Amino acid sequence: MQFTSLNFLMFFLIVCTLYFIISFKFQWVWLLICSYFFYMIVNPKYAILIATSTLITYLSGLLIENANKLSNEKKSTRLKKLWVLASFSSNLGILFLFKYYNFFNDSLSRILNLFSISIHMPAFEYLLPLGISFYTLQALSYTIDVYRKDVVAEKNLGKYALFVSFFPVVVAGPIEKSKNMLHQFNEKHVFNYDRVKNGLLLMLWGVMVKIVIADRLAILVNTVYKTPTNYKGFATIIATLFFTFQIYCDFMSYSNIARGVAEVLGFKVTNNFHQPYLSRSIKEFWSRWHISLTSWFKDYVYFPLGGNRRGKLITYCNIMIIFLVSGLWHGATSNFIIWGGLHGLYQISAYLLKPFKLKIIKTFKIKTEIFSFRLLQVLITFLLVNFAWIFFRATSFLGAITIIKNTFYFNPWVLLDGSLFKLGLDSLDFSVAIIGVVLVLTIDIMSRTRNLRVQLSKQNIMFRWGSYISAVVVILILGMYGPGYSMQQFIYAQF
Amino acid sequence: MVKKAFVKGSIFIIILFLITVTLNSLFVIKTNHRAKLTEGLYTNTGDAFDVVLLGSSHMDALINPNTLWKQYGITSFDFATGGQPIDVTYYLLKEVLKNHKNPIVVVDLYYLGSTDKFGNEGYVRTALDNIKLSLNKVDAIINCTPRKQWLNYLFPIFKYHDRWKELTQRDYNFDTSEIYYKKGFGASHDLYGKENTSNSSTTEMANLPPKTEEYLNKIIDLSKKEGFKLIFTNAPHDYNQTSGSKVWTNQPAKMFNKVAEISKNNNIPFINYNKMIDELDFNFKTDMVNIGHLNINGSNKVTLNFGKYLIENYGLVDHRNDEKYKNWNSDYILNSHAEAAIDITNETDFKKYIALIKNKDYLIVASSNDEAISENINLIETLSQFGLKFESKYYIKSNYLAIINDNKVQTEMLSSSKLSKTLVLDKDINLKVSTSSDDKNMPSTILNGVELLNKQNGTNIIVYDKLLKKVIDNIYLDSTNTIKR
Repeated sequence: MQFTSLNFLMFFLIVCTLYFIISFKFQWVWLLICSYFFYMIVNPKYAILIATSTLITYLSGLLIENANKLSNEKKSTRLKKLWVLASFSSNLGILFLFKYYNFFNDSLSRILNLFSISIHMPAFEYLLPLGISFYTLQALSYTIDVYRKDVVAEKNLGKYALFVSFFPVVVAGPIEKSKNMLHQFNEKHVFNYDRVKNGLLLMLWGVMVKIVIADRLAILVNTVYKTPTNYKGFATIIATLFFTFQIYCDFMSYSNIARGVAEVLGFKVTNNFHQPYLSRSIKEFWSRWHISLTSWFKDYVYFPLGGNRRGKLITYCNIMIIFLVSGLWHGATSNFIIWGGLHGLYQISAYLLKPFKLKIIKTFKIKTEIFSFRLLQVLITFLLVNFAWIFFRATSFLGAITIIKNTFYFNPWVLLDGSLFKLGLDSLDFSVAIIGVVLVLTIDIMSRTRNLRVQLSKQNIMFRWGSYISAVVVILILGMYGPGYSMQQFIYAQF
Repeated sequence: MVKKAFVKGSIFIIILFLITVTLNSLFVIKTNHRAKLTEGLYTNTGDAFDVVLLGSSHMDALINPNTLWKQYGITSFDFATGGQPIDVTYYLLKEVLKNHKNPIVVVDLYYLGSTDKFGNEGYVRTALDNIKLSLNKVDAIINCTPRKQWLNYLFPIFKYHDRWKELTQRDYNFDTSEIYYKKGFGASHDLYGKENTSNSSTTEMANLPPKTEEYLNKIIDLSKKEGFKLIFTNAPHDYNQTSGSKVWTNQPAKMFNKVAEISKNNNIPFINYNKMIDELDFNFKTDMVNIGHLNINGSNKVTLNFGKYLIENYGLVDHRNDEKYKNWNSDYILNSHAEAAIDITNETDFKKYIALIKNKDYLIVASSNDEAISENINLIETLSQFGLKFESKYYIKSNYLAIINDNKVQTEMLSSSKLSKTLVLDKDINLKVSTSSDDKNMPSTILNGVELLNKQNGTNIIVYDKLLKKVIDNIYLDSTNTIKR
């Protein structure tokens, strides 16, 4: 049940109506029922997996807490580590089986083939369970949070199951840490007009960005990336630029709808994006893009590996590990690993080149706190991110290489001879896509210094209601939905 | 707080609903079917129809309301739409009955043969998209369309929203009244030219497909409940029209025998015109336009027969001399003009063409800028019937422009340089005729700022109908005196 479907709207209306009618004591039960219904409507069998992950991490929490009570500290620590290990290995084992087994199987066969060794391992034919990459990390955060004593073990299995399966975030995040989220299920959430209105506004904005902008950009992107050999020069460049904004609009809209849904119900969910394409460095980009994932890796992988406290070489290794794992987390293909590796390289290069950069700045007395310098930084960062997205979007390594090669073909005439309007979007749709991107960037820039929802609430009713209604009308008319369109899945819902 | 949210939320939803309904009518495709349903169902509710005609495209061209009026003084309106399944006909009939009190209802039953669960979406939409939102429409959507499509039928904007790029002035100001004079009727003037290859003489019977039988019975029950008079028809057509179809009964002749039995059992007249071919003196070659549909000749034959039947069996009052119905006379004249316009646009022989356009209600503009006229003696002789005073020697490499109004020459200009004339033909209609267009050295005609497309060398002739208030034909003649469009 996609967030932008009318089915979800109906589902959400029913969830909210009953949620605010029933007693506080049963609210979590209702949400748990709804969350499992939401999850099982795609494929009921996969509920077994999410329930298994829930049970394992729930038990790990209880066992770790019991181990804490042991008077023998050494034994207690050893036991706690054992439970953490058990929780991690079983959860990551399930994830590996469903997401990575075939990839590693193929890779291993290819490597062994180089040495003329042939092995035959059976393929694993099951589809990737919905949201497995997201809820696995969310559940594992609980094991570590209990281990670190950041949270006490949750005794109520139902409430804990709700934390893992909470429907606004189960499919594609944001990945909530137990220390941020779990306690919210014990809080009383009554109907609050302003909060509900704000949540709905966020959802409306998300739906508009998804089906008017992201799905429109996707048409041109899909055309070029489906057969990259057929397109050259500016067609390729524009397709990659469009994908850069498509994935942002797509994922940002998903996160906003998820946050909006949670906000209506009274929950605070992490903001996954903070104007990422206005970042001045790759490091800054990763503090603004998919914030919940970055934060998870930082907290639960980077810091345990030693972070930046164990010398430069180890720091660089840690950075590389984080990004390679992050790439692999997105998908079991070499392209995702390269994408992650590129971001790792960008960051390590930035550290290595920092003295050189400072020297140039000093020698040429370059002003760094002025608009033009910042703009240059933003543009360079944007281009680097843009380049890496080629590997993320291309369907194969060779496809990515073709795109890169074809990018360096100089054909400026296609900008004027109408060729660009033969890539799936005619001139009017192309214009709508561009206007949409400009709108998103404008909202991003405005959001840096003010809370736009608060600003909007201060306006006169005519303006406010005019804005709401205009947004719905824009969705109704310009949205890529209905007969003749196949509903575009959210990109991150595939991970 | 909850009350505040409920009130505000309700107001918001009502506003959105109203906007959506407005957008629905803007985005729905503007077809003649839309125009006629709007006129017949909602605009002319005060116009009492003695008879209403329903069904698919077979009925569209079966009974001509203007002929019924002219010959018998009977008022009628044709609500038929192309490909209309019988279940949709049932709900359309209910809609008709909401707005017109106690007419004689005539339903053509061709679509009883359909075995499809649901009709073709395009055809269903032709009817349902043009019915206003009401409980009846909701009922129709639930029963005549697949569940997955319900919302798209209820809010057509969901289906048509991507038309935002192609919306034109016609979508914003769709003038449905323009063709009201046709009373919903539409028949081609073309000839089929083939014989009937099927045999309808069998006396055997075959069952109706279950769904269509259900709706036939519903229509019968409705007539009993509402107390209106019901007549069933089966238009002349070649039963092989649907032979081999997977979604149609393979025994249509036998099925209609069964229909005759059902009708008889319910005291409802069923006129199977396919069994009255001799009585009608019906000739498939000249009275049909194709395998399934009557042309204007065939329609005239059936309409005269049907009118006589109505007069003999229903005692309908002749309204022709009733002052309240005077608009029906003017509508008849408009319709005659529209029918004549079809003959004009079908004519390819120039001599016959001139005879057709010699009418005081037409304004004719002829223009040329080369020797085409001068080289064609036949053409000159033909044009001289209008009193044009040219001599061939003057026309070598000349610009020539003539306007004939009320069958008289109003203007005749000759010049070695470009000639142009702007005519204000009606309140919102202006025509600019020039012997040489701006971009090409060819005669050009600009109607309300839009250039007519067939800009060609040779002699250009435009025929404007002053009653219909539109250009009905725009031809050019090449050097061989051949009409081209």
